[in-house]
Amino acid sequence: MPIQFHDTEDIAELGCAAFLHIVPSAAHASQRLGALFFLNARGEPLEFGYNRIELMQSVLWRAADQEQAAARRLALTLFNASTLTPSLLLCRADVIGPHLFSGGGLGLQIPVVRLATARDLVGYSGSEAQAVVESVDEFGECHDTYLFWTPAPPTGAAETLFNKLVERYLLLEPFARAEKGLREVYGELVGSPS
Amino acid sequence: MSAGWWQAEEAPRPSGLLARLLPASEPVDPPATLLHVPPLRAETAHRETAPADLPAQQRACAGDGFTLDTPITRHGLVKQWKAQSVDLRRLLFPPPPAPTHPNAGQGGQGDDAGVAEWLTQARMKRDALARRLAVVLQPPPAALLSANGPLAWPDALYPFQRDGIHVLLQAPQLLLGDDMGLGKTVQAIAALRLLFLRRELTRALIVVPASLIEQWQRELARWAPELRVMRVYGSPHDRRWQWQYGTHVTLTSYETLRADYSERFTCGPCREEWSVVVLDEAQKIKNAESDLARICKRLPRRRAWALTGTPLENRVDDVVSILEFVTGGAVPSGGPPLHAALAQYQLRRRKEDVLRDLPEKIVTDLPLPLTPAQRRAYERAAQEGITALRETDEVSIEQVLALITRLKQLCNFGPGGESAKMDDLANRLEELTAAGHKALVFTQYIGDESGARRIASRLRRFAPLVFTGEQSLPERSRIIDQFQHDDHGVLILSLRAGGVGLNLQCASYVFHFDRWWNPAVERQAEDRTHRLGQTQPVHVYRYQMTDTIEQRINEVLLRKIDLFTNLVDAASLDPGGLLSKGELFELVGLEIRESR
Repeated sequence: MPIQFHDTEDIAELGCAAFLHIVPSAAHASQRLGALFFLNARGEPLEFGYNRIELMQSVLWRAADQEQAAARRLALTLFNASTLTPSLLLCRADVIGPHLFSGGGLGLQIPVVRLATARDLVGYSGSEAQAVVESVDEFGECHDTYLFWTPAPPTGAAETLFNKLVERYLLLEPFARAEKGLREVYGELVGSPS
Repeated sequence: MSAGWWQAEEAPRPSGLLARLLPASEPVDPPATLLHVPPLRAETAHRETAPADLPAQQRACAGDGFTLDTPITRHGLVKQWKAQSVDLRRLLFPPPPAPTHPNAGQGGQGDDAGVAEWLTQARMKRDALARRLAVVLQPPPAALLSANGPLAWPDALYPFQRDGIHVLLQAPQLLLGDDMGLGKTVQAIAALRLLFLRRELTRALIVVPASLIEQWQRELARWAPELRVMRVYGSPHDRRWQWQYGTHVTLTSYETLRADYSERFTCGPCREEWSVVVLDEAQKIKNAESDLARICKRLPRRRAWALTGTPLENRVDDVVSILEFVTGGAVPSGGPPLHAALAQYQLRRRKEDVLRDLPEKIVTDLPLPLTPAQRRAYERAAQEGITALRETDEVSIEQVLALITRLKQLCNFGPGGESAKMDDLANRLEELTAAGHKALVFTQYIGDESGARRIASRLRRFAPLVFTGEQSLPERSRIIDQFQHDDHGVLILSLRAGGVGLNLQCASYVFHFDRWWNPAVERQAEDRTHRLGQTQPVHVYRYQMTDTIEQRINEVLLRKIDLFTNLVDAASLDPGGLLSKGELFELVGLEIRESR
């Protein structure tokens, strides 16, 4: 009988992480562009989904609600189109609000983390678990990244995957890539790099 | 709604009248469109086993991971689209052209043709977008080159090397003219690796001096393990299929390239356009009139990188020829336009500027008197030679060079094998090897009478190794390996074969047994050991016999070096080039007579 084994260092075994990113359109104030970008633990791109959405044009909806409804709908279409099942979902806390995945009607069976740097001013929900990690960028500088987990930090292979991403400074960098991808697709609709 | 890892409840919406007034927001382009980026690892995309009908040799290669059934371009492109929806086409492409056929709109042939054309165009645009996305979604070079980035590198890259790699990635045409020992090979390989990861490299050609092929192969395996390499060598029959193999990198020597070059586009190096052509030691094409230079410039290529620490060996034309390969067109032959072209296409860093921590190189001239027997033989040969030349009606450069060579050889060894240099060298090596140091001895001659073999036989108590151009490539490779890893303290090298490309940092002492015409060549030889990875100061000793032609050559060369250093860094000389006919004649005390 073959020996059962589990190789925790194997990139394939660690699964992939999905980075959800949304940017406002530079050309149309009411339009939002979204990307769902899948990476493995090495930072290699695996899949890239994209779409755009119009905010509801109505004075009867508050701006924050409009944003959340658009983000929710955009995320849904992106999730629906993806072929991969991620072990983690990462998004930027200044882009995705605290309530989309906790109480916003989008339930994920994987850990979701919203990320913020020390410079970002972000809100968070009481149901999110908070943590801070230190990672080193390509120039050797240390940065603190603030984490808001829903429902809780990952365990097992997903935790290893997350640690690999931290180790390789791949927590925030992929969002810049996703934005580049959106710029490639939508051209001038995406503004200059943030 | 749900799908495995996610589930969505009904969206919160206003109720009552508001619900009727405000329709829910819908995406502009439902459903989301999707690109699938294939994994970077080449192995996963290809079948690794060789078909049974291949010759044994090819099957052996195939077993090493060469792709046989899948063109490499397939791996380089993003092919898979999971959602080829109408929405995507509407988003990206203009509507189909209006039907022009008489039966248009009635389901006739015109409709079909218009739709087919529209679909073809749509497919092409979609593929182009997919390719661009596959490039832009790769991690950025700065992250990839970082020690804590996603890619593993066998050693940390120096900041100037990372800069060089960035420039190589951005500049399709570049002359990388860094000083010897700054890691041009590593920079080029790292840039090739990143191009491959960015899907911008399908096949690269690297042309190197024959003696450096093994080294390049080793470095490629070390610095770019994802790249599959095919070395083109051996019999013409073998080389024919080697050229046709779909590997990422084809590695060959200048000699093989010249032998296999054909204008026919069905085989050999011109079969397809190369993503990159890299010429190592690009000074090999300094002579624009040579076959080799012409061949290299005709290679179909998207990127052209020339690597050389001495882009200008003899005259301005050298660098012009190299730049012609790089730019793929005509280059100004001098003056400010040439300087402008160099500023545009050349990246050159000097050791003293970027490697401040490299141990110093201490150069010492060793003036020695000839032994009495050597002096007698030298004076006799000089007298007879000059007399013979004076009696000749029209003296040619070849005759003068022959006399100079004879005199230089007598400076090495006199009749009966007497040699002041040899005695001094043996004494120094005694001390050095006893202290555990390793030494390189360079000579321009290889023969039994006054060259490498004679030096080796006189130094046999040190068990020296000999490296010359007469040896086969595997033999040379084995010798370098032995010197680096075994207990041999002395390596004797012919200047031309051993002066370029080798990494011999295990040695920290260099002896120039005789002087070459070209100081750049001598410096290249010294830099085999004075380079990245050297931890000890490098001591260079240059023998120079007093009151001989060696001393006079040295004086002329020093004058010329000063002049050239002021014009172009790393300029140097050679007898047929920078030394004029008058200067050559002056070395042996002759004046040029006007030919009748």
